[in-house]
Amino acid sequence: MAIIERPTETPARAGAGGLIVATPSSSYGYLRRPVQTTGWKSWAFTVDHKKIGIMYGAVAMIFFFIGGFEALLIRLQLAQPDGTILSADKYNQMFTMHATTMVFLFVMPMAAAFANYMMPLQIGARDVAFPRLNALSLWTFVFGGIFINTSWILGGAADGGWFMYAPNSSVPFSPTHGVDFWVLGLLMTGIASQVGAINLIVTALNMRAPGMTLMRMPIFTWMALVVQFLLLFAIPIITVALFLLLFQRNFDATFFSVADGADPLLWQHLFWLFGHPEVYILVLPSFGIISEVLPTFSRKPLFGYPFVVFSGAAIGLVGFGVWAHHMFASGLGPISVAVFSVATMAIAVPTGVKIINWTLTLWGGKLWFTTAMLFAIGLIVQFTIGGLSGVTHAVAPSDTQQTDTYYIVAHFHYVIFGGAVLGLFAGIYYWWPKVFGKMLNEKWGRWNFWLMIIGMNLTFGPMHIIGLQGQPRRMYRWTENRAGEGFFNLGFWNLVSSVGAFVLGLGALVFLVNIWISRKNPPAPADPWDARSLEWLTTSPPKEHNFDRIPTVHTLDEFFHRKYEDVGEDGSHDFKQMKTGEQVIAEEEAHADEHIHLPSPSYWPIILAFGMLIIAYGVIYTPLLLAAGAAVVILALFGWALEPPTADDSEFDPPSSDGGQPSKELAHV
Amino acid sequence: MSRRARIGLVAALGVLVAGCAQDAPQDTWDPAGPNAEMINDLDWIVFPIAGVVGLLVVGVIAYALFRFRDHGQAIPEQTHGKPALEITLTIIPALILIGIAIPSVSTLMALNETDDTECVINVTGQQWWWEVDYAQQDGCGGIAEPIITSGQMVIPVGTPVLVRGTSRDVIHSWWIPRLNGKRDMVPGRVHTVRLEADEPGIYAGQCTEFCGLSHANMRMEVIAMMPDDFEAWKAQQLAPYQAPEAGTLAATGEATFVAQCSRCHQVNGLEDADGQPVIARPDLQVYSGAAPNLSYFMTRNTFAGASWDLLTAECRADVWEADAAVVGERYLEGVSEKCLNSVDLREWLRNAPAKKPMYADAEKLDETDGLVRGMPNLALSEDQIDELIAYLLERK
Amino acid sequence: MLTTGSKFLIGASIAALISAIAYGVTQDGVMGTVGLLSAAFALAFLAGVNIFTRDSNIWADEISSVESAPAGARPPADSIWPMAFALGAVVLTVGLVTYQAVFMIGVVLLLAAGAEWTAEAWAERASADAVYNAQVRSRIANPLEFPLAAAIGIGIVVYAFSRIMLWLSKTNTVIAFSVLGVVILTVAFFLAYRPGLKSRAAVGAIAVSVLALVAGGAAAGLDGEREIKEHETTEGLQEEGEDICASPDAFEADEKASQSVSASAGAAATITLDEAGELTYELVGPIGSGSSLTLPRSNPNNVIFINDSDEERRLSVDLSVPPANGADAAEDEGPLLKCTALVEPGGRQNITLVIGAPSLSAPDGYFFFVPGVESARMELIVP
Repeated sequence: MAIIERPTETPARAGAGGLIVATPSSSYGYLRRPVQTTGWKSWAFTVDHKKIGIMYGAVAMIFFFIGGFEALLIRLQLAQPDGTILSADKYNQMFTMHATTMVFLFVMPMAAAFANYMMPLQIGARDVAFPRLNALSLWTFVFGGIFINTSWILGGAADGGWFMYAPNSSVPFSPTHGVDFWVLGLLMTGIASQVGAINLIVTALNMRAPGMTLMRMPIFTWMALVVQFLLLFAIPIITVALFLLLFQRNFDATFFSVADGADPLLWQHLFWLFGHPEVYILVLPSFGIISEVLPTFSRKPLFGYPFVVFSGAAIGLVGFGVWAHHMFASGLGPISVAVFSVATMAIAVPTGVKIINWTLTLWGGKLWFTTAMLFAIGLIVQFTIGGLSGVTHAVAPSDTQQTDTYYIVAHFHYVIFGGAVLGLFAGIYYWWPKVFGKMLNEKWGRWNFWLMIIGMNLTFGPMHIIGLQGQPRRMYRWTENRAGEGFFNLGFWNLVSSVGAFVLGLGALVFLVNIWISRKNPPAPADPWDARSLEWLTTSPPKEHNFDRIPTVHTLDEFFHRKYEDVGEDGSHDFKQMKTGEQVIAEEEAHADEHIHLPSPSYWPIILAFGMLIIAYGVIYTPLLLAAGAAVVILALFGWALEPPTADDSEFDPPSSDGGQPSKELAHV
Repeated sequence: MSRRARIGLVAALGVLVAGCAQDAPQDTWDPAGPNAEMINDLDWIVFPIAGVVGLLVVGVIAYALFRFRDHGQAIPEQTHGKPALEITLTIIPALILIGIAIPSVSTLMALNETDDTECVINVTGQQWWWEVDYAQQDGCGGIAEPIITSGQMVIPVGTPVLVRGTSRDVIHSWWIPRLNGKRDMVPGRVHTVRLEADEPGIYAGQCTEFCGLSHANMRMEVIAMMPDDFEAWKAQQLAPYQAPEAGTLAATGEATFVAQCSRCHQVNGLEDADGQPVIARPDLQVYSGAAPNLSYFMTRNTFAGASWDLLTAECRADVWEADAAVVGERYLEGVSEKCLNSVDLREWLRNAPAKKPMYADAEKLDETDGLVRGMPNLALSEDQIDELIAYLLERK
Repeated sequence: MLTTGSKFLIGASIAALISAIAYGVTQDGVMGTVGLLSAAFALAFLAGVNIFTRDSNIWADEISSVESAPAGARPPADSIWPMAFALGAVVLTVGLVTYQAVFMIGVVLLLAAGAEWTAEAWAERASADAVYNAQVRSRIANPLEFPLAAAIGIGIVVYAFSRIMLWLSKTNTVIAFSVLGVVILTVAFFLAYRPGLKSRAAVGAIAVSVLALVAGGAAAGLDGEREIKEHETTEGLQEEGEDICASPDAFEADEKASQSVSASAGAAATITLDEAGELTYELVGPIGSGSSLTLPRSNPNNVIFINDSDEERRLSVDLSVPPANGADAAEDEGPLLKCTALVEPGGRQNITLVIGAPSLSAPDGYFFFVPGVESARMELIVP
């Protein structure tokens, strides 16, 4: 725990008879800075963007299965009329936490995992701009997620729905601490997102390899960058809303108390002003992923790269101007509704542009149907369905029939499961060999894909019918009375939907089986997919310092153009493979840079995040904990500020200051 | 289109139509009044366009997947796109959307008209039931005295009705799918929604803004009847109080009602032993400050947030599935002793929170100054329940 | 191995801990315990810093080595902090005999100067290397200096801004704010458009504007706020025995109060006092007007009053009910009259009414009236 960096130039200790000069003593062994490269410490205190990315992904996956389990309980309850699996109270908690978990604890961190891992690799950087902040993002998210979920055993989870409309979220209507846990937990994950957003924006804008202009940036990095800007502006809004709610509940504020002259619609505006950009925060990373996957397996560049980039940016921008389409039934008045209705239709245009470009990428290609490709195609089809049902409720009068029914549930699951989640799985299958150096089993991958696709269509497809025929959302029970007549009544479709949920769950389990089965696969080839972008221009898994030589970029799809050359003459094109991926990588290794600087691991990010966790419990339970947490936070802030970015030579065991190659400088090449 | 494809399309449409529930009471695609009809007409523009676009996209993708699968062709040309094609394909969806936007905005404006309505009915939501009241007005064929009821709204057929709604606690949403879209009812604000039924009948609805624990048990119905029947209903709702005959079970029930129920539930004209009018003060007992008025309880046929029937299954079918010509008449008969669904009503009186989840447990009310949310368990004896049911049966 | 300073800090930390335990055991309330515990943590932290840095860096127990080290021989650098410390002491003393605010400034100055002085003195002797010592000072002090300086800086700017906004009239605040926004945008655009100018011009512009803001804030603060009028409904005044609601007399009201009411879009009713002295109401929808207005009970009803008469008037409502059946009902009764503030001719005002008891519990019913206008009377029905 090197609080103070020691003098860089140690004053010489004079020999016998000379002046005795003060010199720093060696530091205490148990307070040394963490420098391990193996074992749990190498993970807990790491600042390496790749390890952080893997941990983001692993924790997000755990939450995916928790959220999925909650969804299965919900569908079990609704499989029959007057279900009795869950009490009304538990059901309300269940759907609140299902959404919260999936949105904030699965899709967002999973996208963060990819952005963390891939963005530095795709732009040819050695790490993100602020490695310790990166670790702080991770641990704040992890502790925030754990914090929210501890509410299950501490008196009940939040029960107001993930939208948490005021005044139903006030203490008289939700007297347990569930909502407090939810608010504080989301504040923590919000800190994680905000810190991560700043970090990745700086990384993408400042740390690109020589020659990589913005318009040569791989499309995933582009979309991730847009998402970070969305986060940068959207997270402060929800933070304000959450603070208002926190003060309303715990400190007798009256922001949403009608009798005191407040207007409960304030919450809705704040929430959806965050909530709609949030939708794009969820789907844009997946759009980026499949915009990498589709060209790779079509063997041709992304069709209309600038159109895809600018439509992504346009979606991000317009996404801030359509929030009130979640409030068409709130009584805003016809003028506002008309404006937001038209704006919402406008946002369908850039989204449509993306779908058109993906289709045209496939067109004329040489398609290779790997599991990753299947998931990417699945995304186009399923997301198109979700997008079109979205257009039906951009039409405000129709939306007043559809909103808060299962039709909406169907719509946003096609968008978020069909759009975001399928894309994330495409990314997992595509980049698994990159990250772990092993392929995932393709046969099991196909089972995974088809079970998920069938499962999701069985689950969410019938919800279109259920909703349009009048079943509202968020009801812990439905009755035979309102289910209609005939064999295909709402009861039948509810049952189908529940069965589908289990098929979907099975598909997710197959993914776990696949990981298990694939654990002993032989090392994957360095370039298994004949890929196109920079992250493949290094070994799999990449070394700690990513690239032996920082690559110089000459074109979009740099890796592809290093392997292939156009031998066509007189305007005709004919691409011939000149080198294999291995050869290209070997070329880089042969010209390795000297003096690679990497930051050293640090205790402080995880300690700082832990301090925030204690503060969060303190807000709910006692000021004593609050003070203790604050003390930890202050300690960690100081430790962090005082700590030099790179560990002193003496911290290494054995110290490696012999000669010109201290271990901090050049990782093992 | 090839013959096979055409057959396939027809078959798919057939499956879709057959795949829907019949006579679902809250079917948005089965409009029963001009407002819902307007929305439905709009749907019939938007949905087919969306469907065609969807089929087109999926078809093109399917074709591309088949045509360009890897069958040994050379590495394709590394083209980065064709801007002219791109721009064309951007403009087409934009034009389609402009085409959709125009009718949708004009329908929106029509649905928000208020001045041409002829009858105003107030609804007030609270956890977890709706109160319906008819203020004094010339509309609705003239209302001389305020009428107040709950759970079921009665409207004359063919009359454009303006519902003015608000809430007493959290946000609720008023939705009668076959008559119009939904509208949130927000405390402190008055929102309006138009209703009009073409045919007499009972139109079901459900609160659609999540409103807490028993959100699923907050329903409502609109009963549309011919103007004559509506006049009869108004008269029924303003009939003077008829005290039970002395010595009957109902008379004992009246005393039980005064002792057990009247702090929250108003029965107009009820007098206590001293001859003083009994005025309910639910604002001193219930967090939302209201409880259903029970003066004409048995003229309604559902209770507890319209979540349970007051009629037995056969009697319910007689009213709910009656022809348009007689449904008003049947409804006006109210609930007789023979038709009473005493099972659910008795369960309710025995322990209301057990039947419908509510925050009515006295030990958990620190946050609401001891006020209950929903009806508490009154620990009534079976005899008291008999008496109360006998008394309530005369409330029509 | 431990120096006197470390021993002192460790001792003080233990003492604070013991006091915290003693306080927690003997006294009610947790704030004292929290404060003492925080002090204990802070002192322990300082002790830790002391031990792990100075104590381990220099063989402090080898007096001769310390004395002979360059750090011991070099004269200390110039310092502003003794002077600032003294100034703090003077301001504090002046504050004792004049204003509390001056006293607080003195305390803050004293603390800040003391802390800076301590950090500087400590850093100068941290090692033999002057450059390194400067770094050490930054590392130790910057984590405190930056956030505190930022908080104080933002606080001053915000406070100065708020003074200016409160000094301007309501209309002028809007103009000032718009002008400010335009100026900021223009300057930002100009700077972005001419990147060559960037750093120096930006610093200059910001410095000038901050100075102007603070100077304006000070001037505005000394001149005082504009007159801010009451705009609440007058429940509170009833309890003080002032029968405001029954009186047509003056009561200062903010003429723009109703603009702040979001409810104007979804108001339950709009009541107008017309030139003939009659009250009429208006609702959304076909019920135009009548002799009686119906409002639901127990929910917050926002009613807007428009004064179309020639004189300042208020709308009052009489909600008198006899005690209800319940034994404890009497104490739950609110004031019997409620009213808006006095509204100027042509003005409007909102009143929020939550009425618990139905109007049939009042012998004469409820009614709206306008004090001083006999004819203005309208029945209020609460079913």
